[in-house]
Amino acid sequence: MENNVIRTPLLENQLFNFPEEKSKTSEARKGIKIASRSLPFYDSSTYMQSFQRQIWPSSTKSTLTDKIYSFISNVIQMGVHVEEDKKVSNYLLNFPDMQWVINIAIEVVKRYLPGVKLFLDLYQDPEIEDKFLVLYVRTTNYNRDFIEKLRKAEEEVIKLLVDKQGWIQITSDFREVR
Amino acid sequence: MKKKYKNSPIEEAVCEFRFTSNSWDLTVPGLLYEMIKEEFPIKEQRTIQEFGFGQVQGSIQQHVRNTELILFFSEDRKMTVQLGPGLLAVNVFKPYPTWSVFRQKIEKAWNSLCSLIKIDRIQRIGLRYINNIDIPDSRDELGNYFRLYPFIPSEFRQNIISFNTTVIFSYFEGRDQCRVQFLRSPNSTDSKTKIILDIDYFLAKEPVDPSEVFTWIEEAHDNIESIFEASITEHLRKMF
Repeated sequence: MENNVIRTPLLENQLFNFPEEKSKTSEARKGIKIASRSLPFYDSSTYMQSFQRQIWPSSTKSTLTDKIYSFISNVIQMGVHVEEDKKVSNYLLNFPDMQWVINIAIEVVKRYLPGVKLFLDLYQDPEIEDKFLVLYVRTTNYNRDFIEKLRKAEEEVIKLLVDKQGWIQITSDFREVR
Repeated sequence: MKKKYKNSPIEEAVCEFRFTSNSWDLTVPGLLYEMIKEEFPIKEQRTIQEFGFGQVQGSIQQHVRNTELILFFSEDRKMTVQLGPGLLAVNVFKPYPTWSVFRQKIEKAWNSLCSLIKIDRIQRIGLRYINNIDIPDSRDELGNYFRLYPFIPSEFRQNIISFNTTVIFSYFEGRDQCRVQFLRSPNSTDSKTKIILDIDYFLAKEPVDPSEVFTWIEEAHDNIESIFEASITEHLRKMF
């Protein structure tokens, strides 16, 4: 029986709090003993506190840029190429509610035009102090259907900008997709 | 940082106070605004969500808390004061305005708040610098630019998407700690590696007497500066 004892990781025990009487995992149902309680140093009242304080102390959270870096990282993981990340993050610093709009815009474009390539950039008018985000959509075949779906996607996103101070345009520069 | 760089990599610096006060009420943000509005005239309200774990009757439970913050921005939006229940933070953004200017903004915000409410206890102070450094040639060895970086065996280097190395240092017999994060931004490309050097110095053990706050901040800044200077090579220093 001793060979069947599973020592579950401490953190997992702490986060999910498995008491033996409630452990109805497949291993438990097979009659394998979950040994978390048998560990002498397992004590939920102290472990998380020491984990937080000693291993991973809380950080100085009031930064604004690191939240935007995390957001841009997520956007990149969604398959979007961010052309000028510093300019985009600077814009988002001033218009943080555009993060929500960008997320929806990416979803909307992908719904209408699956398989296209997306590029997020900041447009700066060279003559006047005007900046806004642009989500460029690129594809291998720029036909009438593409234009129509792009227009519908843009219409859907523009509705989200009603009470926002920032702006995003969804368009294509008709460049070749490499 | 005392050493002045023409092209400083500091993307953001923040000084954050977490405190308890029995005299806090909803009029405080408006009163503080009156005192700092010449330097921070733009007001914005934001809601932040904080996630945490707490213990309820012996079991660990996850909780989400919404906190309303008021942000006061400078005219050019390159500096901000954040205020909420138990929280005051002063942020400066690129281009970094020098330590003496940043310190003066911290003093102004903190002293103004202290004239409005009685701070019962300072729970935490943090001084954090986020540096964003572009390495022009991603094939270059990190060791040419940094003295603090993860060692990656050469056979794995082609496969790197990202890395994140964290070191925590202790100061003044554990009173303070400094967390140094060295990470590669996922937005790095084949031609450019983007490195974030994040130095977060904070009060780990209470208390600091409110009268000693600025001594603490000055020491924190000196230690951050030492870590930064020790983390980079002369080659990188010349690029700033």
